[in-house]
Amino acid sequence: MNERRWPIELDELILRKLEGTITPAEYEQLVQWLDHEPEAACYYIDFTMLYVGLSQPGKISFSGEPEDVSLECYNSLFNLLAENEKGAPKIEKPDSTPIVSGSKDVRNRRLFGQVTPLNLWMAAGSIAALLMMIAYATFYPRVASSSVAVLTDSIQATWGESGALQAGQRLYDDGRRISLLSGCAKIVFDYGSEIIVEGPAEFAVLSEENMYLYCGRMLARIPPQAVGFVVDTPSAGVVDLGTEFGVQVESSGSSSVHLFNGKASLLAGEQGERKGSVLLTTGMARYVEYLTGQTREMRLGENQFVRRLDSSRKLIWRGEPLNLADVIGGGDGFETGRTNCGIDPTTGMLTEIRTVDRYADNEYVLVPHNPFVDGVFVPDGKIPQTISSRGHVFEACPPTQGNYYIEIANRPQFMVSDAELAASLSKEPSMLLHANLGITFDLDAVRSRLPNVNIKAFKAELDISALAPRTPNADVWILVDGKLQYSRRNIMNIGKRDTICVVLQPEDRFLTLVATDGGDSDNRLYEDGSRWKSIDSDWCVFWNPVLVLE
Amino acid sequence: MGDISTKKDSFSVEFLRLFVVHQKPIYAYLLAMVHRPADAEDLMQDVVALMWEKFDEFQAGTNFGAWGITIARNKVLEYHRRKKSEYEFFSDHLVEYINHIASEKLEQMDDQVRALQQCLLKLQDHDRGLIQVRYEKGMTIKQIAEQMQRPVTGMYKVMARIHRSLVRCVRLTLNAWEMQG
Repeated sequence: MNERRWPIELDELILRKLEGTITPAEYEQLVQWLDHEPEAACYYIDFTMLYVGLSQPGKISFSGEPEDVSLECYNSLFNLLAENEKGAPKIEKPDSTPIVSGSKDVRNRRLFGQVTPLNLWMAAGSIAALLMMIAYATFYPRVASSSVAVLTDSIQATWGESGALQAGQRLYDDGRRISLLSGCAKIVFDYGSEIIVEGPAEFAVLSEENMYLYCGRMLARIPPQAVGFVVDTPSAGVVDLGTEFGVQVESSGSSSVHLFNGKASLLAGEQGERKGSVLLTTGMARYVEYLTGQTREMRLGENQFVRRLDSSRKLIWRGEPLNLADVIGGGDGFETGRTNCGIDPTTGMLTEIRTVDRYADNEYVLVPHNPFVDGVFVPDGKIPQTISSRGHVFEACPPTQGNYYIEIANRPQFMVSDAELAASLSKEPSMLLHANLGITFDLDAVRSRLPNVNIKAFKAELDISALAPRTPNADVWILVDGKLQYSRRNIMNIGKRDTICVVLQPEDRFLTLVATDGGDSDNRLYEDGSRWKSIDSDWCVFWNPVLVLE
Repeated sequence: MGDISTKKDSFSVEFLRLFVVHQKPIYAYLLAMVHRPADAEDLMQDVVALMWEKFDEFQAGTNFGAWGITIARNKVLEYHRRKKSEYEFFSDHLVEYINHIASEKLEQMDDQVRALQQCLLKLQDHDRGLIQVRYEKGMTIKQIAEQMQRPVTGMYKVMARIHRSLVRCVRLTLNAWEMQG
């Protein structure tokens, strides 16, 4: 029987129509479909007859061999998923051959799916075999595989012999081995579980609530309604209990499981031969040896797994903190920005850096080209200093000379006499905020780029650059929504890093960093009798200035 | 008088006997052709009333189901005319096509239900359980989703998938039976 396979959406529309829950738009879509596809109309009638057949009370027996199943049983079944998994039948081991080839099915459910042209021809040579096939179809008709997930996004994904997958393509629960050679792909299962697979990896979709990872890395984010999602590997099973976890399977078949949030049950050993379970909670990681099923603790692979993927924003996030120095260089915070450049505090534009004494008023300048930076300014303390586009004011801003020396810079490189020192300093992520300068970051912009990610804190190490020629005298201020969170006044030491951690709340919107000149006059007298500007040597550096994300 | 009463009773019994056998295909036809399930139920009542009214015109030994569907077809046309301003309906061409295939398919409905009975047993326990709570316990898909704390859209997808499996299994089974003669 050569039957056309319809997208599952057609079944959904028919079902909604028969249930009386179809919307006008969906109804229109169904009508269009049936109108243009006679075979779909035929299918529609078959579906309707089946629906009516099922709806006849007393005519159909729903319980064959299994016991009558009540909803209560179901709920307890889900609650005890982990326990049930222990006794689940063994599934096929992955072969030990290299990863690229194959389409070895995980489950042997598709009886006719195994009939190849060759064995069909051979069987046709025997009437007995033919009769057997007919009998087979009669008593064991194939229950068609079903689409249970959809590939929603990918970045630089190259697929193996299993065939290329495109965004929007539905994935079937046929246990087919899918090979992702490189890049990343996001798959959303019908109950809402979100999986990010990173190539090289091989996996199979088994149901709305179950997948198999042969090798490679994947991350699972399970929403509350999909609790119970199971990831099987050659050496373990992970039953989600409401969580975000990463799984890595080595070519040997050994697995590691890393729990980023929530809880999960780790079942050591392959399915059917479980050797015990371990409850994992946030921050825990376990390694499971393939041959022995032994587990051991390991360090959480914090930045090991791709945890967010968004091709429209070219975003691949592995859980690493967002680097604000990179943001200044026009990047997304993950080493995509330019170094040795900065934002001009008078125009808001990204520019080459210049080391020239300049004066400016205290105007708050918006930075529209950089979504993460709200604005920049040169504080002078003479009139209230605006520090955000929403009008927040830095009330404690001290009077300054209103001058500055260099742009707000990402990892600047200076041509100085000690070139080696300059080079070594430029290697470490840093933001130079020379006095008198201020910058405000928009935390909501970060949240919108990384949905469902919490910004936990701003962290950095504050210091005066070792390249400062003379003794500095600077103040550094950190504010959140105009409220002072940190200050360090009259910094005169070089090379003494101060660790900063400003805890941020979900409702916090603007993070402002300010450096001022320590109250020096513009005719500052040094011990050697020389006179310099108020901002001389006030090379305030935020080393590794990051937003800690969770 | 007694004779007339006995005749009337046997007339009623015969109608009921035939109707019970053929009601499913008639209802399936109506359900397929109208916009809402409630409309199908209303029309079913009209069709039954009309069939009863005209039962003396029905020739014993001919196809009661086909006769019922002819009556249902006229009721559907009437309904389409009446509701045309409210809903978009199938095109005339599609209605004609469905009428054509439906009469043949609906005659197979008993076989289909037999096949369905077999196919239900071939579902995985989890899937069969969901079908059971939907049809035997009479819960809506939304209620099942809520009970199982699953998203409604996801549950529709799952139920659509299970129905698809069953439709396919039934088709294959009927096909195999046909091959066996």
